Amino acid sequence: MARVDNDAAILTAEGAAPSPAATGVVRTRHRARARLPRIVVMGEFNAGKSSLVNVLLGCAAVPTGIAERTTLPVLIEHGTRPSLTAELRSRRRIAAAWDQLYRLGAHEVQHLRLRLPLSQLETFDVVDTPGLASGLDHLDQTAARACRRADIAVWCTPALQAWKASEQRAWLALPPHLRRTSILAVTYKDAIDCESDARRLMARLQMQAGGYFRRIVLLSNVEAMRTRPAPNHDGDGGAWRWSGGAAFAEAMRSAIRALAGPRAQALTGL
Amino acid sequence: MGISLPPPVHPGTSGRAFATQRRTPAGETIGARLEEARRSLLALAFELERHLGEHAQPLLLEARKQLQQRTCRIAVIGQVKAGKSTFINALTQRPGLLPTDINPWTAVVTSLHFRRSPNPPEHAAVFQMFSGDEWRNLAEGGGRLRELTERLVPEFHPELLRAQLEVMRKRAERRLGKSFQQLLGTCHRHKTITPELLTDYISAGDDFEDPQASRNPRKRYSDITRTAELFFSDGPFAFPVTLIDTPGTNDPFLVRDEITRRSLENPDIYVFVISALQPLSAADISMLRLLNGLHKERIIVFINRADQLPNPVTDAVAVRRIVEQRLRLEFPSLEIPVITGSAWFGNLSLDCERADVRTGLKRGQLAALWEAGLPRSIDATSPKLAPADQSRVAAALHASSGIRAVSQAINQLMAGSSIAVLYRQIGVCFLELVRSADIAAKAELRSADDLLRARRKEAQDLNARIDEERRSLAHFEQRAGALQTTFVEIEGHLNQVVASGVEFLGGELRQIVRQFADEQADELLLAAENRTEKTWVCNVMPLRAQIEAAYIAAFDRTMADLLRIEEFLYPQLKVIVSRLLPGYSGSVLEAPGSPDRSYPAMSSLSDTLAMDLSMPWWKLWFGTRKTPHERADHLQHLIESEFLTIVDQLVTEARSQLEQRVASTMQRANAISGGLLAGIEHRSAHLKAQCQLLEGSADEASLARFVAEQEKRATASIERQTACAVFIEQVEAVVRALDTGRLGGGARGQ
Repeated sequence: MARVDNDAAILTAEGAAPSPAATGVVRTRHRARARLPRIVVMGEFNAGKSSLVNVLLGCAAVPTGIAERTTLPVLIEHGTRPSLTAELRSRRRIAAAWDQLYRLGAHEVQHLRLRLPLSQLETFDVVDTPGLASGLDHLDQTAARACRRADIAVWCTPALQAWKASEQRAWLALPPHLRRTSILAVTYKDAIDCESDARRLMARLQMQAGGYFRRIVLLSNVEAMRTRPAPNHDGDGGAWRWSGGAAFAEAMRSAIRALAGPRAQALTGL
Repeated sequence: MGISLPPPVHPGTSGRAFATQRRTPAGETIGARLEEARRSLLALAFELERHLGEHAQPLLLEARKQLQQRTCRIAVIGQVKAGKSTFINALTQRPGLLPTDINPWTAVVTSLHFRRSPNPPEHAAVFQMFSGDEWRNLAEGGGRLRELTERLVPEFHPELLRAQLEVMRKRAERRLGKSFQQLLGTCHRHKTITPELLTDYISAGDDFEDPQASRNPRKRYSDITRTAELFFSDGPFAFPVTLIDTPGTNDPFLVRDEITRRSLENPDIYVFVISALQPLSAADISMLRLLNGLHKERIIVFINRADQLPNPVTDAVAVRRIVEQRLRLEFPSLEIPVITGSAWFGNLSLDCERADVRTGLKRGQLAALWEAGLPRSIDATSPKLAPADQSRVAAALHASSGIRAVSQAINQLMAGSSIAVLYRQIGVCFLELVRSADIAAKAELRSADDLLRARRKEAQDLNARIDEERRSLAHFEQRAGALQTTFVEIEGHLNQVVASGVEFLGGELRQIVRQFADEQADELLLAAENRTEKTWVCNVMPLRAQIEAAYIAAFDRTMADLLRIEEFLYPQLKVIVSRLLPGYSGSVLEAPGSPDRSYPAMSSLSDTLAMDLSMPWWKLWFGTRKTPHERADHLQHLIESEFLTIVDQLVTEARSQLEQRVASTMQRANAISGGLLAGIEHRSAHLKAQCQLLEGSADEASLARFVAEQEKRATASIERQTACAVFIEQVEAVVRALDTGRLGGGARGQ
């Protein structure tokens, strides 16, 4: 089971979650028939998706590492107690543990459901997806299915091989409405040597992909995780900003706000 | 020995030099074994040219051309930003030579020619611009790419491509001025290579204005540069090598992808550079499948950027294991060497005095250096390092860069490459020429001996003997005439086999395509009935495989037919030999056999087709055609038109390959029979002279002259024979060496 240190959730830490009113509406509706806004983190394999999910939640929610390939979508939602269950195609649910996943027949399981007692999960769900382009077609299909109900997508691309043609192709195949709400997260900022390289990389991405995303953010997952501010503390502001974590958090907040407005209106019939 | 050796072609080499290994400094031995074979054969070619008659000259000239001009082509390929240019800089020990950048930077296929020579090349760099037609085709048409996309989905993708082409055109205008079109078709030559020069011609440059960059007053030609050729007179290669740097594939700037695909056809060896951070992605695998489809099996996989893994030491092992497993699964019949490393380390090891870079080494990277044998007491990040420590750091960087392992792998593959096969063929051809010369010399000696012996007996006998010789020659000449006619007939027959084989091949392939198109259309209709149309995809991989299999089978069959007919040639040659030299056993002509897997180019099979486009395109395609029948019809038409073009290309390719084969076989046979016939002519000329001599007056003086003449002839023949024996020995040594190199892995300079 993942360690959950429910201390630093970047979205609530800076006190800028969607307004209580809007949240309340969404929440009620969720109970009745609707659901929370869904953030789906996707991209090619080893692009840092799981690390970014952890940055988003402010804790080590899902396992990461070069050999830790995510092969099942993980739906992360709010729960009063931490729990991890596997949902089978037969709709049956069974308890699961991260280090025992290999025991589950991969084709039986539809997805994993991770429940965590994090306050920010009261305003949105997060889905971590298997990496695309690993050369295994069934993983590509699983990932594509997982983003079908996405409200916001976060597309991860590693800074040193950012935005390849295969990524562009996969992204353009997704529902076009995502282009207005989604974020291109350029990960591994720490691997870039100098500021001018970073600037020129971002200039190219802005030109090649700017039209397909709401915002493009450059960040280092490792640094963002290390320097994230503790709740009610300012933390190491400079390092947090350098890591790109601050910009990413701001981009997410703005995306959710933009979404919460029309959604809340649609749901309440205002 | 009766022949005088010509001066060695290269200082310090002669035919004999092959036996002793050339000592070269460590790290400079890539291709040393092949280079020795090359020099030996080249020296032999020069000697044979002096020694053999007119008839052998075309063959020898051809061989010499091959030996002098054929270089080993090593292509460095991979996805964008895998580190190909950085790798080449490290391999050639020229840090900073090829420009690299954070954005995809190599825009032009760049050939680096390495040839050891005492004289510097005339030009260090030659850049050829697109011709006016090529540029118009590219900039206005977008080539085949646009054609494909437009046929499948009118209005979608071409927009993207057109926008990019527009950007390119505008950029060229901005960089080179409005009149840049005047530069098209020109060729720029430079005496020296500088980093700025390469940046101007090879680097993509920024598509955007970088506000903080100073205005660059230099002209940047990369948009309109078609090829870049760089020449070096020294490098890590003993054998002449052409290293080819390619723009990365999977570039969202589609134009570059198209350019790269075209450069994949010729190379002997491929170094496939992939990133350790995303090892073997779907794009990598499809690229490997493409090479496999082209029967390019000399591939080295270099997993670059290992230094950027979180834990370079342990992660690199894991990544390598994953890649090896995947390759075994995907290509069970191929043995692909997989090497992990870091081209960045490789460059840093050559630039170790650059403290600014060294101090930035991270913990994990230092651990990799310790692993490579650097004592922990030496702090590699220290700005000031003692020279001795600096060289130990450099050694550790080099060891963990993987460059040495790649060099060894290249060396190994070179020894078994098609060049080694070619050299073996040249060696065998030399053997045949020398053997036929040897036989002619033996026959000549015999005739001189016979004449002398007869002379010693009696003049009358001599006359009888001359008569007999004359009859035998006349008979032989008649025979030779008939033989020539036979050769012409055989050639005609061979060509006929080629024509009918090619026709059969074309018919068969077209049949396969039509049947496949029918089936797919039926399946599509069926899917429409079953309402499974949404998930239906037309997969043309099986068709490709089917075409390839049928192609190879038909090609093999025609080749076998050719071989059967060629076998008629050898008895014919035997006839001449037995006439010349009764009692000679052994064959002059070695059956050429088919060199392993020399199939004609099949690159057209790997052309990107409309049908290769992924799912979402099909959805759009479905959208533009209303009824299932319309879709099925269009699909059938699409498959047929796309694949029949490919079939035509394949058939043309097969025809030219087979015709070439016939031409070269006939050239060989003619040269050998020519050699033997030249011997006969020699004899008959002599005979005429002798007859005149005898018919005139048989006085003592002229008879003495006759004897002296015959003795001189005999001596010359003996000398020729001795020389032939030496040649045979030398050529056999080279062929043997090439054989062991191919079988036993010729890695030498470990």
